[in-house]
Amino acid sequence: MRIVDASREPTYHARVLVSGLALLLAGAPVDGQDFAPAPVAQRPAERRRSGRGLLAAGGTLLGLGVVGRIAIEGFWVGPAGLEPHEPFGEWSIPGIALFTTFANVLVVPGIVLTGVGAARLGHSRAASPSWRPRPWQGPAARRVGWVVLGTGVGLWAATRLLAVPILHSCPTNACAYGYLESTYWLALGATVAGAVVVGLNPSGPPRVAVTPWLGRHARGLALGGRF
Amino acid sequence: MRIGSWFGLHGAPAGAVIVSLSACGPELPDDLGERPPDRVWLTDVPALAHLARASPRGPDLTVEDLYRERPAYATAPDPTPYFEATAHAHRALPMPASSAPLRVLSYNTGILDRWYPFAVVAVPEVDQRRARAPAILLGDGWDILLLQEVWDARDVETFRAEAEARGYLLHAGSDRGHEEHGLLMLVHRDRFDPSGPDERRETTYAFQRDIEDFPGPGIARGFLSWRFRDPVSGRILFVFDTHATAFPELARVRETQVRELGLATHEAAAGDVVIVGGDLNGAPYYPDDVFGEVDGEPVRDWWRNAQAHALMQHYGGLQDAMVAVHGAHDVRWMQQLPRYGAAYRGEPLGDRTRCSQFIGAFTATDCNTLYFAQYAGTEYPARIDHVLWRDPLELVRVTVAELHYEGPLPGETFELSDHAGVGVTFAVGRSP
Repeated sequence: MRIVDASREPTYHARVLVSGLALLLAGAPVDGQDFAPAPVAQRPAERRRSGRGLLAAGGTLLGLGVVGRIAIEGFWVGPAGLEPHEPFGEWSIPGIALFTTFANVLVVPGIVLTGVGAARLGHSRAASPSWRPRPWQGPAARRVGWVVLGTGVGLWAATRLLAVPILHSCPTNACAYGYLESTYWLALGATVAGAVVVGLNPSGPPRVAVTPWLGRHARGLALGGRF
Repeated sequence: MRIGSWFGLHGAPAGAVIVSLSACGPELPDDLGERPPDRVWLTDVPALAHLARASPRGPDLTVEDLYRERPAYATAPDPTPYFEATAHAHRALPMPASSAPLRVLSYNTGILDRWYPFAVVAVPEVDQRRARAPAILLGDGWDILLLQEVWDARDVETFRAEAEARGYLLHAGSDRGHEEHGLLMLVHRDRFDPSGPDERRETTYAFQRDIEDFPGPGIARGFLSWRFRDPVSGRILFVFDTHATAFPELARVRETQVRELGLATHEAAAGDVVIVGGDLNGAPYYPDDVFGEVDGEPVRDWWRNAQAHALMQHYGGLQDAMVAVHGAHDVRWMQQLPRYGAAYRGEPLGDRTRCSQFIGAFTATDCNTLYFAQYAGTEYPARIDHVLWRDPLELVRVTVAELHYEGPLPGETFELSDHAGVGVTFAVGRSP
């Protein structure tokens, strides 16, 4: 049965099989000896949970967001004609906040989808009998991923919280826009990279798994989880 | 530049979505009707009587009604009788036995170069003009300069350096406030008594076109004031510099602003000479209510656009210096303008050779190359910049009132600004 392979998941502390749905949906009496689901029922579920779709969606949103941000920078350098040595106009701070939000409307969901997609892909890959982790994959990589992700999110939050006083003290465009953009790209890069690394190196299977179940004497859904 | 062309009013599609934001907030002052100037009949106020004559309901209207009910006009409000009477009366006044000339310039410098999301708002040739404006303006011998659209702190610093070199004192308001109103006052040291008073204020109007500030390019209209003693005449001068909201569609905003400013001038002491200069974005007279077009749509409500100038005179008890010298010349100039047609969009006034007939007439006109590059047939050519004064002692005379900086800069094909300046020489009688 595919729901759990305890030998490959040492951190999987406890499991519960819920057969209520199976009982409700059963087309024949359950005899307790005939629970092996048919293999054909497992493949679609495996494909659905690979996370590749989420990764593609997240990557698309991230890509659009990144292009949007680059376009904003192009607007500042081009039509707006901002010169690095010229004084920074404090009047522009609300406009900067609004303008950059347009890109972040795509970037933030893109990060979330990419992270979730990576996690699903990681779980899917780890659950595959054919997958053998490389030396640099596993709990150590996951820990590094958390550090990078935390650094990215922390940098993002801190630099935005401090942006107003720092921008008010910036004498030139180079100072203000340099601060905003350098911290943005660093934070974004770290956040995305950290989320992907964490996701691709799961510490265990998903907390809850729902699996279709088809046996000779019973049909239904099996719910497995860690508590 | 008349700060505009944004958010759908002049067809910017990106901003059209948020134009409704400007409708937020109260439309009229809470204290409207509580001040004595609110409650007078239009027919009883010489500066407003022409508004009453042009409206079918005119005899029944108070100033408060003008704000609340926005009565329609049947004909163009024509201030000719009042203006001619003002000029006649001013010319009839005897010159004070002892007076000192005081040269005052009101000038919208058009030093504007800002961005907001998805758009840039800039007056052409801004970098060249911002580099040259301080030396030109402070080198022309003005005693008081009331400048508008010196938006950025760096331009204030450029003016400050020039002012120190040429003996001027400067009032730009607070750092943050200045970037919102863009106003700058300069007074020559010879006309400033350091023993006082020295009262400098900065006021943001209660009523704004809010989207000019956010998400627009951080603009909030207001006025600066400076009260000081002129050691030459011995009189205390209470000087104001303002820039009101633009566009006929926003007449109500502008009218509340001039009311606020007019009432503020009454904080002057009894013997103060009050001088108000600025870009009101409104002329005293418009022959037609419909003139120009934006994106194929005719621009309307020009008659109402004339109310701000009249209300400025009313609430401040002020006289227009140009009117004191030239009477109703605004009306005469405007009536000579050719009717609006498609040709206005192709050439200034439909035929650029006509511009030579209107030298000295308009402070905002397509005959200005910078203005034409921005507006081309969308705005009424008009005198929208003004210098007004009030002297309870009646010891001030206007000896010269004329436009300045109309032509191209030496060696250039463009002007110093997209506006012309209004230069006035007062003869300020010494207090008895």
